[in-house]
Amino acid sequence: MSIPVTSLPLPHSIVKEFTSKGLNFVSNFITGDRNNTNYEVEFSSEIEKLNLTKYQKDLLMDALMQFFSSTHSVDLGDELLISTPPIITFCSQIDRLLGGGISPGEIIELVGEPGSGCTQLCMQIAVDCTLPQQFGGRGDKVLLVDCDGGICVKRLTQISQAALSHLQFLSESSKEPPVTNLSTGQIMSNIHTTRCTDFTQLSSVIYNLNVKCEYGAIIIDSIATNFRYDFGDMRQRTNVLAQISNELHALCIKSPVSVILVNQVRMDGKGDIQPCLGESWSHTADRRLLLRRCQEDTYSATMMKGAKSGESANFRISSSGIRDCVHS
Amino acid sequence: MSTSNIVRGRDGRCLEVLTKSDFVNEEIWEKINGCDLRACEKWILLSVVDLIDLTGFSLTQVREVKEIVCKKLHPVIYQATELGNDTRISFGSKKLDSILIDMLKIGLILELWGEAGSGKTQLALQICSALQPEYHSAYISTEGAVPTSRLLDMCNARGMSQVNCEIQQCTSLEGFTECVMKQLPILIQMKTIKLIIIDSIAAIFRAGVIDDDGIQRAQKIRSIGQQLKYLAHHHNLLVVVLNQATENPSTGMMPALGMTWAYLVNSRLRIQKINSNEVKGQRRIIVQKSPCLKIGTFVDCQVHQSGII
Repeated sequence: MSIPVTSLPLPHSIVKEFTSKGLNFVSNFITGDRNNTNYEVEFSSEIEKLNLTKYQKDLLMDALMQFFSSTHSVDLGDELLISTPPIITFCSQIDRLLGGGISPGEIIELVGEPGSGCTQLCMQIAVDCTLPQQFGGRGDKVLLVDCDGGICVKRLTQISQAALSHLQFLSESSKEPPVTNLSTGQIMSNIHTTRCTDFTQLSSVIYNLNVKCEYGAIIIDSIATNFRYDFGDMRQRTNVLAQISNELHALCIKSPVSVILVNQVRMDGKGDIQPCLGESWSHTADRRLLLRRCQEDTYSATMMKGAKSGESANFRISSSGIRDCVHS
Repeated sequence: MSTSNIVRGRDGRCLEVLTKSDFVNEEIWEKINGCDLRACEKWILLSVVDLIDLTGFSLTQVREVKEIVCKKLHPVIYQATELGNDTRISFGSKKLDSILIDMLKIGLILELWGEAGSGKTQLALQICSALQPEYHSAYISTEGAVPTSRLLDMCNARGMSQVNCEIQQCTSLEGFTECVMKQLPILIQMKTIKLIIIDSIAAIFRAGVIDDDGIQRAQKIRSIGQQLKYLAHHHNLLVVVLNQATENPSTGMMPALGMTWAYLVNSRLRIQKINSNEVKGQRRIIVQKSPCLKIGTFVDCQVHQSGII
């Protein structure tokens, strides 16, 4: 972590001393064990290059301790992010495309034409979030914000049962302790859902999440529904979307929650597929996945924004949920 | 309850408003009342800066009011286990019910599409007759004569002499919009409506009826769709929308109105004629979109005098 000297709470005269001698980063002149939460900091020999009085050295040490103290929000956030695992999707190809799964603290957007599998993927991710961490889940509750009406409890139950039987198979074959304390009922009770028929309801849900969020993942299906009709004043629409975007970002900084948004697409003048809700909104998500139905049973997911942009993964939707395609 | 508490939104819906009892501090309430900011919606639409300008409140005060607004507007959060099996209505045919009953879950929009003469209206009327006599239905026709005699026949075949169905004919887009936005909500208040049939959505939006501006047309389709979704969810009814088929050079037969309309439906059934020399009147009903049924599930059925079975 290269912290620039200029970001330390020091008087300018001292900072100038450092930068004039080429010691621009804190790592240039301290040694310390980063893994130790108390952050024992010691000066390295480089510090002798500067003519600092004892008073100035004390000031410097104080500033460094302030910065490195374990209650500093930057470090706390880092630790949580590193220790929280990504959420898998049960399709290894998609997980590989996502670099392991859906990362904590990220906002990922799923876009696709109607019938491309976005809602099904959302339901699978919702179930996966509740699974224990050693099996690729977050071990946490999930909030499914249903704006379309497409979330089906019967289907969620089906996906939960299939996921559970797969876990039991895994734990048996790896001789790990069996997953006895997890049941379909428990999974389902950790999936919270709410129906938003209006943009005001959606806004208030996100506002409240910013106040208090007890979920490991938030899934919004879909963000576009309540904004793509006769909104009257388009500037107001942009305003509300900007507010939501800010609040989602604030939420992701505060806690390692993953936000999964489903957006609609439209055809632009040249016949290309574009995500909806405008240019400004398209910057909200860190990554974007385009889903497409290829044939009867096969679907594809293409990365549109983020690492591995342009690469695709194939998946199928079975009675168990989202799975890899079966190669004959 | 005083009528001054009712604030109507764009589409005539009743908006959530702030009342005096929400506030401990009377001054805040007086200011909100005075600036005509009782509608909760305005506190979401306007930016914090605008709100400070309009009310003269401090940032903290605006945030406090926003918290109260968001508490009021917040929808209920359920655990998935609390949501029981939703009600489903019937197709009026044992064969269809046994496989496709999940398509008729209330609270959603179902699209029924097919080529001319495939039997869409028949099936819709049959669903309507299966609801009698406990519940009412609303039937909005946009394509000419309403087949009231066929509906009566179906109900008589079930042993019912009376039909609880409100029929409305709309020939123009304005009339149709008026019907969906204003008249339907009033009708729903008066009777226990469990089913709304729109026959058909394509006829209203097809060429020549409104200006050919694609964007305008799309916006109007979405407004209608949004209203239907709202009615279906809030009043616990099923909306069955019939749609025509249109030929697409690359993908073959598709439902009309394209992607715009396709986003608004929750489930879709296609009804197709089966060409056979021996047996006439055979139909195949295929699931094309559904939250819980597998895509491609189909049922073969027969068109009879008494209906589609």
